[in-house]
Amino acid sequence: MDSVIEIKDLVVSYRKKRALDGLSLSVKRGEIFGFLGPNGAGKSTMIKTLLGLIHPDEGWVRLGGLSPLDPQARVRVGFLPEEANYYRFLSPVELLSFYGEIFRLPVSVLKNRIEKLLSLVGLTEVRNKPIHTFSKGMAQKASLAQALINNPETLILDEPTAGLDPLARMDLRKILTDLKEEGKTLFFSSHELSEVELLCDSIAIIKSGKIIKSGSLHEVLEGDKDQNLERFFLKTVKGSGL
Amino acid sequence: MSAIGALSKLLIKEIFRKKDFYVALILIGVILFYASSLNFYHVGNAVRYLMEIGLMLIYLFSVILTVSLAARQYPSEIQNRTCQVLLAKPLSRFEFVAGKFIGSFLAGAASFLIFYLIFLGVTWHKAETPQLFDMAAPSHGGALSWILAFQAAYLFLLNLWVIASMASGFSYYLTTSANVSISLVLYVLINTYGPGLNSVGAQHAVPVLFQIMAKIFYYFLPHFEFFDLRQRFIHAWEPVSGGLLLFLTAYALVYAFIFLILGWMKLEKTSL
Repeated sequence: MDSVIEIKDLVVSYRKKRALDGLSLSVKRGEIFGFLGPNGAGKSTMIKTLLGLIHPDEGWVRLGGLSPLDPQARVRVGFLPEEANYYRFLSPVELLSFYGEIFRLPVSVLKNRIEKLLSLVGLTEVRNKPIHTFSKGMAQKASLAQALINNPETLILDEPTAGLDPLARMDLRKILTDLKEEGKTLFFSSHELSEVELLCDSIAIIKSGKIIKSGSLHEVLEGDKDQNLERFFLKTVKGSGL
Repeated sequence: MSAIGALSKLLIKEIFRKKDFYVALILIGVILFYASSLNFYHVGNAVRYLMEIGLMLIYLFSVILTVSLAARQYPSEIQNRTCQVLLAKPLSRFEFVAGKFIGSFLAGAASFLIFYLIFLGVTWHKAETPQLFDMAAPSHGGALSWILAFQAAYLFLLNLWVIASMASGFSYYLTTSANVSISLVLYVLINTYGPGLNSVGAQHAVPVLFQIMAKIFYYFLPHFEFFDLRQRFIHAWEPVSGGLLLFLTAYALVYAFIFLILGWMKLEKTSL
């Protein structure tokens, strides 16, 4: 399998403090990759660098073989941010049309895709209501729909289940599993270890900007007597000494 | 539709869904209605005086609307974190800067044209003599000309183009409130003192340093007063030549390009 995401010796600093410190990893096409770490470990910085929002100080990142600073690299990428912050005066249909136009999708394709996505995330009935009237769960559904508007090959999700109720979380998990079955590559950061254990093929654990463990879920847990990701994560993060 | 077009459309939607535009529209409507009800429009030259005030208010409201809209675009994208989602799409940072600017300009221009049409409608309706507007070339102090009405609107649109690009470019360096204040103060100062800067620079009685500074400001700052045809329109002087209109169009394009490049240079280096 070829790699969709490749990162080599990546260093990103904020005011001389290294947020990412020589990080390297690779995500293969079609896999679900979980990116784990405590708060402030560098997960969001990593995702922003992957999307070309932050310029690396050292090292390099390739998204589908291209630098993420090149807009072409982001044509087949979807991004679901941790917080669903959108233009609140727009309705879901208008929001999806807007992002579809940014992707330069033809009108006929866009119209069909909007209908399909609204139905997928369950927002068909509120399609014309402004987003500022939505609950957090509904806004997150609109957020997921925008991340899928370009039918992405790679989906990057930053804490996708944060703040969602168990039902919404279950719906999202089902959608992500379906996306995996369609052959899409999913890269997501999460605190929800049970979620990661259920969904991911491979993981990387990051602390203080460095990867302290990575590999397939099976490989990572192999040497651990509990074979439980939550206990392994706590043990690894506390015992890493970083 | 291009990405720049999509961004522009978003801003136009925004202005027509928020209250700023309607507040300005109601204010202008009230002022024009009040002025016309005083029956001044039946008193010879008072028509021209009232027209000048009405037109000045329309210009001012349009500039304030455009500046405030252009100045808040980038800071609000940062504050609401919407730009992270937007720039995670295949949109270059230059397209982002250009889209925000064009959207601000179009929204400001649409507001101006609505105010201006209302103004022309009220003036035409209240004119004592139906020939106040005349298609014929006007003589000094005679009938108003549709040609000049068009030229005044066109040049004011160029004025909005430059001021929108200035506020847009500054928005990558300044907070919204600082940007609005600086842009509006510069606009007023340039309109008021811009024409005199060159003569200050030529006066030997003025210290050399001031002469140099006056010359630099004169050639460096955009001359918004070049785009103001109010006097010419209201007092029915001769229309300006096509060559001058072309020159001013190029002048506005060059300044907008400079301001946008300044904004893009800052954004390009910024981590979001």
